[in-house]
Amino acid sequence: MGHPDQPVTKLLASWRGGNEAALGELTGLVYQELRSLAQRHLRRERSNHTIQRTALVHEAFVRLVNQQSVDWQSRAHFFGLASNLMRRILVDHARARLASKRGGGVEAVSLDEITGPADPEDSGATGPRYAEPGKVDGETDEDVAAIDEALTRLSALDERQARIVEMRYFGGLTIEETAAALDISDATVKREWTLARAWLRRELSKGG
Amino acid sequence: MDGGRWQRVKDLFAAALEKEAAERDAFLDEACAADPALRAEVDSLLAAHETTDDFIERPAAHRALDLDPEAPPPSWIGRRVGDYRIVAEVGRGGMSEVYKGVRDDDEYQKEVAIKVLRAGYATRSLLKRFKVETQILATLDHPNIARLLDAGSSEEGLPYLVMEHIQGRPIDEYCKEHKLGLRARLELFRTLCDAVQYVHQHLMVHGDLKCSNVLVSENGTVKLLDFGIARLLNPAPAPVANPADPKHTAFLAMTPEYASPEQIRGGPITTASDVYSLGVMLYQLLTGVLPYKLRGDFSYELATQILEREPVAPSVAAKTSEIGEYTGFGRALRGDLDNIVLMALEKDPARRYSSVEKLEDDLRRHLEGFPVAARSAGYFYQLGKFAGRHKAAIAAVAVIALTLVGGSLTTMRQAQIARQERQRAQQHFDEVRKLANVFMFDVHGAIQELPGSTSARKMLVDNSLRYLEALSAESGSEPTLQRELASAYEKVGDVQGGFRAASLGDTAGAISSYRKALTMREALAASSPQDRDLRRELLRNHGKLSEILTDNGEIDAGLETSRRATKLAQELVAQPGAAVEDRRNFATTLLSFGWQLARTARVGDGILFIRQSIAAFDALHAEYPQDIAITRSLALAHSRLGETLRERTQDWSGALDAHRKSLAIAERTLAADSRNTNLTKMVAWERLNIGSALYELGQLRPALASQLAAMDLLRPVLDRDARNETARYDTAFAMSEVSKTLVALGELEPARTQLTQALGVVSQAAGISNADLTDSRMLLGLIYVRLGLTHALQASQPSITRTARSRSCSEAEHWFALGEPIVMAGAGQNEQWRYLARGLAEQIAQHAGTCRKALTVSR
Repeated sequence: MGHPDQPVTKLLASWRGGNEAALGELTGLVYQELRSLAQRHLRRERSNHTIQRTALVHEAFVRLVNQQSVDWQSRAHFFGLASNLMRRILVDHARARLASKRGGGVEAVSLDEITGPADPEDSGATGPRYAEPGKVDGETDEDVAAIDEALTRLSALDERQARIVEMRYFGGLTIEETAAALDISDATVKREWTLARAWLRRELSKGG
Repeated sequence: MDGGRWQRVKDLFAAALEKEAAERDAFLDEACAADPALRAEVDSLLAAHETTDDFIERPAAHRALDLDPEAPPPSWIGRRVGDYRIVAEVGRGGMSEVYKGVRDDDEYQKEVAIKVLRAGYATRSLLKRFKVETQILATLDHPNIARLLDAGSSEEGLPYLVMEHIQGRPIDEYCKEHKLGLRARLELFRTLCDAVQYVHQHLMVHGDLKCSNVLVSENGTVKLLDFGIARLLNPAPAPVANPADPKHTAFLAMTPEYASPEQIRGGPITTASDVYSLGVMLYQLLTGVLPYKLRGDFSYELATQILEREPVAPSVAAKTSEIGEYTGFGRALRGDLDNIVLMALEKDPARRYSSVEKLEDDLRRHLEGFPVAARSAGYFYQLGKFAGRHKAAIAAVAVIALTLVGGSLTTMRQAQIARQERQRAQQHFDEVRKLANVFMFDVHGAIQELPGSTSARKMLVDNSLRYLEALSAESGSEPTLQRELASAYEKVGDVQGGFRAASLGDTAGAISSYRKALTMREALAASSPQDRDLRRELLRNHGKLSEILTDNGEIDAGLETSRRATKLAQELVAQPGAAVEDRRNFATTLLSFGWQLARTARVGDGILFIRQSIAAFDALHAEYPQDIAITRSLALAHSRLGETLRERTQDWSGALDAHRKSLAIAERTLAADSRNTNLTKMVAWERLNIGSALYELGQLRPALASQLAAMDLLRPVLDRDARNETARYDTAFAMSEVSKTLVALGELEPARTQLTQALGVVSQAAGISNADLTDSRMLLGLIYVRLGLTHALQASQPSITRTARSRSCSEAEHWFALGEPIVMAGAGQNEQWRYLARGLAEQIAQHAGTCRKALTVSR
């Protein structure tokens, strides 16, 4: 049993052991994996029920890390890192989409290189694949970018709260996992999460 | 806003939310009377909170990546495709929809199933996959595989498939509804195996075998459906490398509950993966449950279970099932069928049946009464699995290597200041680097070749010692290096001998490592007698060595070391400037010395030392009432006194008194820190100890009350964190204690229910293996024996019928046979287990005698 090669498991241990250089390499590998998973999701090659149940960071963890040789702290480190990377990926994605909608953004690639109407073989198969991008939950693409910016402001005020939002909203972690990753109680996460949501909501409505 | 002010906002916001809406204003008026700006800030946040609804509750990824639910589905109903007219929707899968159609020109109105790609899914790779499915189905012609009738493209160019329409129920529901017996289920499953084998013979794998893809019609015909992610075993080389192709996408399309470990990891799907999925289905048909249960809606949890946990044997799962029809299967599943199912579910594809045909053949052999190929896992195999579970310990050794590298870098810097030392430090660094390399690469490689990692573990320790010795020879008498080395030896000892942690069980090696560390530290301490930290390290070293010597049965050597530890601790306390830590250490050494002494013939002296330790902790506690560590130690000392009185002198009322004192302290501490899991656990264990003292004193009802209270404390800890193995053990232990008292009260049914639940809890423990006797395995043995006792007691009831008696007797015999060897082996190993096993051998013998007599008379 085990991955043929587990650079991530090793790097995780090395990083935990204090080797800062390992973080750079680790970030690269995790980013790559998350990004390619996200792209595959976007190609719709996944049944609906599975989407509902799995956060990408979990999927990446199962695929990259040998479960039996990492302790909970390493798992927490991984989830923290992966949530931060997911934030980057999703924000890039949202920005790229915004750019293409506004007709700008020559370099608007990111995830859209797969879903955009650039591929002549794909276009016209069933008409537009997005009825109108992002109009789900009453939130729009603008929100993701705006939330990201507001979150940066929040972290100046309350870093831990911002981390919690990063893990919950961008990483898709549950309350319990967030608590474990930050080594605080579930109740604290819930309390901070409630306030952070209110703060961000207010912040976004200010911006209009 | 500064930090203090923000904190104020946070506090007020949280406090306001806890108030009723009507009271909020008044509360804030008062709290912010002097600070209107603060009030405005909190008000605006509260107002925003009211409008949050589910704002950002749904993770961004779901939203961004999910499908657009607003997109109107194209209406297929009423349309014609090819010769067929679509009349109704039958269902929708991940990326396709299935409709019912009829042939327009056909006078028989024969019904067909028409599968079309869902709107929005017509990407290049999915179109290609749809085409592959068509090709696969076109080449398959088997009575148990849904037949392809036609295929084509709609006006818009969307591909569709026309298949025979199956009127049937999923195989598991069919079995349930028709209340099929075991044999009928196995025959049905064999037919399915034939169909899958046929697919494999055509060099294809199905990849998504699950109950809902196997329908059984009213007349009992099995039909395999949905080749949506099936693929060719040896596809022709693709013209262009396409990262989207099957190997990668399979992971995303699979059904997690039925997926094999290699599929979970995103590895290639092979015929072995189909064997695994068949194993899951067979498990489900025989026990009514899936081998790995999904807790909540969370497939990450499931994935780790599939990768890490061994499934519960089907016979046990059936036995503990809540559905009556399956509990009846339990007995018949023991042996062959357990082995067959577990072999199909092996995590390593190479250990599964090499083909579906072999699986089917074993089932046939079982039905015909021939011996089967599947065997229960042998000793060496179990040992391999054991090693696999101890990878954590091996990883710990790797961490030591890293620590050494870290330490050596510091040494390097110091050495650069003293130039003449440079060369040696360089050499040192090289040696350590070599060591680290050995751990990181050689070891990692070896561990991956599980099972059989016993050799890997040995290699680890051998290598680490070899390198440590090289370092030791080269370092001369350089004190910094010596000290570093001593710490390394100590850590290696921890890994070898398991000082209260996962270990390799190499006690002799651990003793030797601890002794080496001790020798170095003693030399160092002799040359710098003023170094207090060094003496503390020396003290800790003595403590660990003495404990492991005692565990290893070297009672005298252990005692001697413990005596020296006590002396060292005493000296440290006597020195001017002694810290609280030193006083606590002294009290602790008194406790362990007393504890060890009480295990010898000098029980009275031992108890005396434990009492001295209690007095020392009492004094410390009076001085530092807020110090949690001291308070806990005091409670622990009382508890250890109680255990000693119980196990060594059978002084039950003395034990009761000691445990009650311990409980009072622990409860007081818990009240101040109610969410502390460790304290909760301590309180629960004291309640269990009190329960067992009361039990011995014959006060069964109060004993039961105390044990139930303990169970109520422990259960939620496990429910909150199912991965917490200690909580799992504790909960199961409490349940088994409750059942013990219930048996004594003659309440056999509740006792059995309790034991069955305990069995369910403990059998999921990660550390159970046949190859080693752990606490969990000992507990499992106890539960087996107690289950046996409930049946044996049932058999001895005068009112029972002859058949019922013979059934109860044979049940009792079964459980005794499972549990007795474990319990007896455990009793020979340590005092606590000996106490737990107390009297069980006699009870087993007595009841076995009763049963024999009863059976002889009845014949």
